[in-house]
Amino acid sequence: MRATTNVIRSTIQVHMKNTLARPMFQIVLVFQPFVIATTTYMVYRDANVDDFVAFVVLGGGLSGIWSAMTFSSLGDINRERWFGTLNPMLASPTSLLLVFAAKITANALLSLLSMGIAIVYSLILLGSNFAIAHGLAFVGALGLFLFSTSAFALCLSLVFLLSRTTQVMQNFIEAPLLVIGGMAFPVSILPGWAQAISALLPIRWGSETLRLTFDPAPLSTHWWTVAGLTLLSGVVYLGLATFFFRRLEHRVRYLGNLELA
Amino acid sequence: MSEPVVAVRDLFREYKTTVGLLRRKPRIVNALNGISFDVQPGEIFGMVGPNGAGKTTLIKILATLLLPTSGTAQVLGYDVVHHERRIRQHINFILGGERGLYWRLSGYDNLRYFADLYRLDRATAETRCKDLLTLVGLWDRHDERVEGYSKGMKQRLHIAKALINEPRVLFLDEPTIGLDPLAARMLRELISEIRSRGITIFLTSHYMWEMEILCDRLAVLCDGKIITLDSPANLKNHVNGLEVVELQVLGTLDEVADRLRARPYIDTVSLSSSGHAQTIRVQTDDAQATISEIRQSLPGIDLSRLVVRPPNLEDAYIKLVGGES
Repeated sequence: MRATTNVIRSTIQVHMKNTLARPMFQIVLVFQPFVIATTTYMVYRDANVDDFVAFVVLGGGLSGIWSAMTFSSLGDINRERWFGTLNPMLASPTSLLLVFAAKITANALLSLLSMGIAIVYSLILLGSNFAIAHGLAFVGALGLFLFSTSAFALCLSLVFLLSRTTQVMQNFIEAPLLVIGGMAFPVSILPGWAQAISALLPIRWGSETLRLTFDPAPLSTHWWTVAGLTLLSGVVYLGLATFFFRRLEHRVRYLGNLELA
Repeated sequence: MSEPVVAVRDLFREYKTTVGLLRRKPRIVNALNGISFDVQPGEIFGMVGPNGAGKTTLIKILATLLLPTSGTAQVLGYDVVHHERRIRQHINFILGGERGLYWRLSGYDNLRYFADLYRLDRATAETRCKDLLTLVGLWDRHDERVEGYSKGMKQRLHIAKALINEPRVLFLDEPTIGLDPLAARMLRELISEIRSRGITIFLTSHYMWEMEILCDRLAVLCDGKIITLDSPANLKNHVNGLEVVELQVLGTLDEVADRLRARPYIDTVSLSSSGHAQTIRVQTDDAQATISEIRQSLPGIDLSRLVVRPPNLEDAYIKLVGGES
């Protein structure tokens, strides 16, 4: 047990040191919340939308978290592949699943900075309009969002272990999922097929759980249902990652593509 | 005889790839074509062969990174396909080159992290990291980022990393490649030191004299098959009674090589290039006739760089792989 804790702690430390040294990650964490929050504010400012404050705050904060997660699940794999460190990881007695889970946890912790920046910036931008009606529920919902998104990212990271073209895939999925995940715009305005895809994403339920905490009305059963769906989706993706990991590791050893050709 | 540390039987590995851009056709490349051998406890077992012969594929299979297509491979009595977790605790490897380290971390942080991945307790990990960095001569610079290390220092850090779990078997794939002579010598001394600790070493390299110094036995791999396996001394018997005529010129020696190959007293002809210079090495049982032939083929060429010498292990290797080097 202590050895497992050591692996998690040291992986988080190593990952944070590596990540914070990268200018691109700093941009994602620090500047993206400003850009998305400002853009969302401009879009909603003259529109007659009741909960636009939530979209401004969450659009900025959650997009930073989501980008950090996609970086974690895909970009980091590409970097590890480039560094040639995936092979030594695979050949160590520690499960790759545990290492990736710890790396994603590190990115989740770092991404909280985005949410903090988005909140502070929104306070300045929106002034007296800014209010989180249910502070405790907001913290709980943020925890659920991080958990479910991390589980989803873990699934993605394992799938993308199989491919050397992770950079392309990372760029391909990052922006579309921002839209259909309901982070900056309501899912209800999307076409039916997009809403169906959205329902499979933990970020969709997580962002709605967070948004509802901005509503001054008492928390309804709807909030609890959505919070439950966020948790459930996280558990399902975590279960999928754990269940398929052994098979995936076998496949990775068959393909032998953990390093650049 | 004790149980072999590595036992390989009829091992095959194929890679599936495609050729063509629009009409892609599947193509199968056979990296290993049914090889069998044993490695005994405590020995340094060498494997040499041309690029693409299958050496790295074999090391990856034995290090549990890659699955064979068929055949069996056991390390410390465990099957590499099904018991990889039991094997991983007791082995380690270096896959050559500078990759496999976190360049933005210090040498110590790299080692400390891999100590955690190998599940060492904190006290053991800290002691071992310091001991290993001292062993490889990097303790004085242990807190510097790896990106500032020279190639030789990175390679020594690789060695330290490979010893972090006190492995019983170490797989080293071309560990001295690209190193300057001093750094390469230091690494060879390290390999001898590691062997003195009772660790079995599986080593590949392109440097024959290095393999001659280090290895107890040497397998020659060509096109995925072991064409011979013996001690370096016995391998040299393949060129007994021959002499080597060697000449380096600025320009091409292809035509001379073709002419020489047709002569009955010529055993093997090999060519190698370095910049604009080309070197021809001829294994022959009649050095004088060979020199005359070269003189006739290259009238007016300065032959002051022509050397006649007894054959060495590299010449035996060239003969065995049919002139490829």
